[in-house]
Amino acid sequence: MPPKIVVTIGVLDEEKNIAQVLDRIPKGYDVIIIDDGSTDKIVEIAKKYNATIVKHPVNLGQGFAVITGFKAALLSNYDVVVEMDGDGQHDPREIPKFLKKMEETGADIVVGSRIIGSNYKNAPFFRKTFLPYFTWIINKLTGYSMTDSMCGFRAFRASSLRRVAHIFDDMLEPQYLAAEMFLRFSKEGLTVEEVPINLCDRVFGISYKGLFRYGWGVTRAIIRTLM
Amino acid sequence: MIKTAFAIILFITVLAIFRIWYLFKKEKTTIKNAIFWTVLWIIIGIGILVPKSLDLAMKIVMMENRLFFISVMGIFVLLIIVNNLSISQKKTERTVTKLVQEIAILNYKLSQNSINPKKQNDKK
Repeated sequence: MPPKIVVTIGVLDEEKNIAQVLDRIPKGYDVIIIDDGSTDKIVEIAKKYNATIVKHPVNLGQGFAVITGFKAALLSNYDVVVEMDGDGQHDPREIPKFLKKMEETGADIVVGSRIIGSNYKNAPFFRKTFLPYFTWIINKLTGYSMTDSMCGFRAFRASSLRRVAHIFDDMLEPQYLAAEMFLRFSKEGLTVEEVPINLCDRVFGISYKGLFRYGWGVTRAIIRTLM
Repeated sequence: MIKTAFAIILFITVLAIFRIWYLFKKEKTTIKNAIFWTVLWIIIGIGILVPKSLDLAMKIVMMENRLFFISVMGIFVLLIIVNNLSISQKKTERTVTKLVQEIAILNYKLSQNSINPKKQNDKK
């Protein structure tokens, strides 16, 4: 029996990008859109694609949207929870790659790597300069062998996610989810594998992540989790 | 003129203390807060009305200039207040965040139940 897959997508005012993302979701996958306080028409667009909407009454931030997505997904009997962005940079057609890796290796989590994927030459300065550095630190602290620890395109085995779901209730820095998540997951014994992904350019809008704010946030998340 | 100023200061101090305990009685502030502000106002009142009372405290912290001592103590008290406000604000922020997430999940559960009422009936 094929695994039941759900794709969780956190969005904030992505009405111009979401349609092309949802168009590319492979058939047979359920979709949960976590609307993090959008003020545009993204909910109406998502409903046309029969996506389930989970709405934050006010904007909390991407990390919180991801956590809400996990909680919503775990309420149902899915086998795999795929987390991705709604800005068009992640290609849903690559999801089968994650599932294949998970099946082959038995990994609890499969993360997408922009570093070993294509289009890395055109990556922004922050990603090229600081991402390998942060990933190296997280690898040292966790024992994982990732090349890209900050990519928001990840697949989680639902049974493993359910086992560690309590972590999401008391995260120290939810806005900078990845760093703390991997540090705490490694203590729970979860395994991580990687697949290369091809990062697409964002078609509309701008990222809300500030260069130094995000870097400082990740640093703080690492320090606080270790303390 | 000085006596008038002292009277005004004394009046303001007493008024402030009464207000704090009035708010406490109306359950608009905590006992900890009420005691803190009462003690602070008493110290301010005594310090202004009897400046020589500050001399002992100045000797302890080894300061000679009364104005400098009052300024430093004032900044110190402000820092304590700001620190407490910051902790309280962070706590409120976390509570609001949890509430927003709970509301979102609850609405999701309700929408799922309305889509699949049969499943709900089967469970019963």
